[in-house]
Parts: sequence; structure tokens; C-alpha cells
Amino acid sequence: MKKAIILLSILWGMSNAALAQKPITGSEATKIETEIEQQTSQILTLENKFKQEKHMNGMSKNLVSTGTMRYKKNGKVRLDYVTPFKYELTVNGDKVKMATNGKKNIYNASSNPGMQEMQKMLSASMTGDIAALKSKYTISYFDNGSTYLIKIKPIKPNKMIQEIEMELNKSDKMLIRMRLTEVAKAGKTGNDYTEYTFSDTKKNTTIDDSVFAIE
Amino acid sequence: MKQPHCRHLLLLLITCAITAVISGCTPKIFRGMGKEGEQQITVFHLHPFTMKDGEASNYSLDIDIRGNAMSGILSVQPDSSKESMRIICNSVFGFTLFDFDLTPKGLIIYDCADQMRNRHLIRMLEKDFRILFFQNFESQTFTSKVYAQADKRAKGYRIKNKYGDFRYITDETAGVLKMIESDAKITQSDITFQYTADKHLDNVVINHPVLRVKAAISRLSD
Repeated sequence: MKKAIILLSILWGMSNAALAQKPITGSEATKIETEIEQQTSQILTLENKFKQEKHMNGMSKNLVSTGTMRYKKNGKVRLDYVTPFKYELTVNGDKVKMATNGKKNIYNASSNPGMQEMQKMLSASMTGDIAALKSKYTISYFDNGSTYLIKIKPIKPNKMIQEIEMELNKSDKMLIRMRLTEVAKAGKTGNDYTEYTFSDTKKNTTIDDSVFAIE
Repeated sequence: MKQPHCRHLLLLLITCAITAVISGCTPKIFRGMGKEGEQQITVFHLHPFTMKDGEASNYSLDIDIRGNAMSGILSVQPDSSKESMRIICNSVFGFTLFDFDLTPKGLIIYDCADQMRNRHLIRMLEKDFRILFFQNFESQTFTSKVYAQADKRAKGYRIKNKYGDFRYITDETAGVLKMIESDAKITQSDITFQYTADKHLDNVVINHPVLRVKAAISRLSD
């Protein structure tokens, strides 16, 4: 009896492993991409809670932050961190605002190609807008059971990001997890990464433009 | 007629030189304190940061580099077996600003964002971290010149080692470290410590007047 249970457990584990992260290619990948793009195009606003975990190789614990995210169509993103301290990051078109402790810094991303790229990546990755990333990244799709896993790699290697991983619900194509993996550094084993998990997502609620004002 | 004028000038110059030498012997920070000789101390007892070996401690870091302000989270993890400190700073969004290993032999740089990649800035950070965190190992013993106020409410310690010339001021009544000053030309700094009412370290403010860099570090609760 014991042997039967062990055998069944192994078979169950193997079948799950076979399903997990099964590559999706060809017409199937195109179909999923189209569905995701359709879903994203219907998003006028988005708000959710996020948990951010930074994993640093060699350190005893991850850095955990929490907050809320708001998005409005045409490049408006605002992250309000609550823990470990209050911090605001707002992106509105070419402008970026960072504010904490009553102090704020405003940058113009148009004069900095690196910052412009980061800004586009932030807007796209926070909402699952794959289409915005196609020109500079290769995109691979995987079936991960109840979710789709999308792996995004820069076409030209860059100094910061090695890979972006997005996990979307199959049912509503909403982003539930995103991982940004940094390029491995010389002298260090493994890659540092930052992972975001999203919850309480609300789509197309009214968000006033003043939320994203940068002044 | 010229000779008396030259003699007076020479006398004036010698007087100025003597005054300068005398006043230069006691650093300004210890003015008003009497000398109390020398003592062997471990810098450990002069530091308000308490850290566990092999465990990361996190701090908020606000840094202003010549008017450009940045905020991040500083993670510090000591490794007493190697007498080293892993020090990583991430932006609030999660990107690495810098990633160092501070060792007795020097600084190992694993990563450094472009805006921080400046020779003087990195030397400045190394020195600050050495003062704040690294000179915290019990095995580090130094010969210190000791100064004290007449009423013993404040004490001063001067330590010269291969890392620099450091002056500490303690509040003996409260039993806390108040200030550290280092004098090393470009990377000279003064560091002040602020405490809560119950003497827990609240904030550390670092000022580098030559480099025009200011930083504030606060411990984040776990």
C-alpha cells in the first residue's frame, strides 16, 4: 500500500512538472499574444496593491516593500510605497517624479535615453503591455497551469536587465507577478532580482489626472 | 631704516607660526577639553550600530550629491570570519545603486550605477562605511588620545590608523556617541548621531563639505 502511494505521488509530481512551463510556440503563441494585446488595449486605468521583494545573493534576507500602483492610459504610472517608508514614484509622459520626506526630484526622461527606456519598460511591465516591448525584446510564452508565463529578454545585452518574467492569469489575462532579473555581476554567483506580486486589481475605475501631476 | 622693519616682520611671522603650531596640536573639535593621555580601545564601544554576524540590517539612505538627491535602501551584513561587510544599496524601485564588499584590504566593487561611478565618491563611501560599520569589529584595537571636558560630561577620542585620522565625541551623561569627524582633504567629513528619547539611534547625518555631499541614514525596522 505504501509503495502504491509513493508511486502515485511520483507520477502526480511528474505530470505536474510536465505541465509546468510548457513552451508555447507558433500559432498558439500568436493567438495568446493577440488575446493579451486585446486585453491590454481595453485597459484605460488600473489600480492594485503590490508587494516588492528584492533578492540579493549572499544576503540573509530579501528586502520587502509594499504599496499601491495606479496606471492610466498613455504612459501614466504612479507607485506609492507604504513600507518600509513612504515614497512616491510617478511617471507621466517624459517626466519622472520621485518624492519622499517632503522632498521631490523631477527628471525629464527625454534628455536621458537610459531613463526613457526604463520608463517605457516600467509602464509596460506593470500592466502586462507586451506589445510595447516587442521592438527591443524577444518574447517567449509558456503554459504554467492556470497562468501564462512570459519571458522577455533584451535583444541587445544591456548592463542592467537580463530578463523580465511576467505571469498572467489565463482567465482574465491580468498580471499577477513580475520578476526583473539583473545581469550577473563579475565576482558574484547568481543573479539579483526584484519580484512584484499584485493583488486587489481593479480595472477601468475613475482615476483623476491630478494623481499623476508632476510639478 | 629697512632693517628694523624686516626684524618686526620676522618676529610677527615667527609668532604666527608658533601660534599655528600650538593651535594645530589640539583639533578644533576638542577645544575646551583637557588631555587625558592615551588609551587602548576597541572602536566597537564607540559605535551605536548593533549588528548580528551573518544577518542583514536595513537602513534608509538619502544622499544629496551636489544638489542631485537620491533615496535608497542600504543593506549591511557583517561576516566576522572574513572581517568583511557586504554593503548593498538599492533604489526604492529595486535596482542596485551599488554593491560592495568592505574588507581589511580594501573595497571590492561588484556593481555601481553610472551616476555613482566616480573615484572620489567611491572613496568617500568606503571611508564613511568604514567609520560607521567596519571599525566595529571587536578585534580592531586602536591607540587613542583621550580628551575630556572638565565636568566629564563629554569625552573625545582621537584615533589615527591606516584608514585615516578620526575624532570621536561622546556624551558621557547620555552614554552615547555624538559625533565623528575625519580630516582627509577631499573626503573629509563630519558625522552626527541623533537619538530618540530612549537613546535608540534615530538618524545619522553625514556631511562632506569639500565634495559637497550630504547623506542621512536611518535604521528601518525589521
